[in-house]
Amino acid sequence: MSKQWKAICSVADIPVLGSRVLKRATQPDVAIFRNSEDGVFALLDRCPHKGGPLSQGIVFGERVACPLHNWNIELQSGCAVAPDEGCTQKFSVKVEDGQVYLDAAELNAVEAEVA
Amino acid sequence: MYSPHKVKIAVSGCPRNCAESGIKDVGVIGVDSGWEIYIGGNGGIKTEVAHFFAKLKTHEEVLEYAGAFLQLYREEGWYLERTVHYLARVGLEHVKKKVLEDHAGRKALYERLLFSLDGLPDPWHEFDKAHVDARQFTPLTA
Repeated sequence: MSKQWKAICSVADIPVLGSRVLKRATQPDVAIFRNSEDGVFALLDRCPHKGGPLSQGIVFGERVACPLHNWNIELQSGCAVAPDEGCTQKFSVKVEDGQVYLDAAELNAVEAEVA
Repeated sequence: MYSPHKVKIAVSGCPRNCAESGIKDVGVIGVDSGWEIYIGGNGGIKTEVAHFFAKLKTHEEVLEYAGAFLQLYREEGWYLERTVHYLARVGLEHVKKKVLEDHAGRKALYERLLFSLDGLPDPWHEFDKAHVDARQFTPLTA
């Protein structure tokens, strides 16, 4: 089954070492990150710890530090770095011709809490 | 603004002092007929009450006196010495002489501070100049 990709924005729309927030109709926000290598990643904008806004965190390497309690979350997996444990939902990203696409099915799915 | 150690500054609009100006490196409290400046306070584990420094009429004077003190601290303070430790070392009288009594010296101190800050953009009011990407505050929709 081939993925349906939804165009979201251009890579240039995302501040380097920053993020943009994608609002959804009934679901929690998605944070779209851009690191120093122009890698683009998308995670639910809720830290697995206490729901802090990862979009307002510090981006470094391929991680983001939650602004609330400094949990380091890996952008590839959405999972916290040891010794912290917990994951937040990650979203598939495709970058083509400088445009960022997210998986439409994932965006529309009812949120499944990842332990 | 480079300084020997961090400085924490507060301004309260009235004597109720919500901003806790009494435990700041430079604290300003608005009173009935002007502004009071306090210096050399410290919050944290070893809390120190700031010393009353001056009562001034206008906010321009507050900027000049506070700026002059900060510049004196920048020029005379040792690296990693908070203002509380700097004041303990040189004495409040020394600072009063240099900032309150020496009018020409105070103005010169303030000028030197302004010179070192000249051209620096204000990240709250000059987004472009300070390289703040304001788009981060605008959400996307799919």
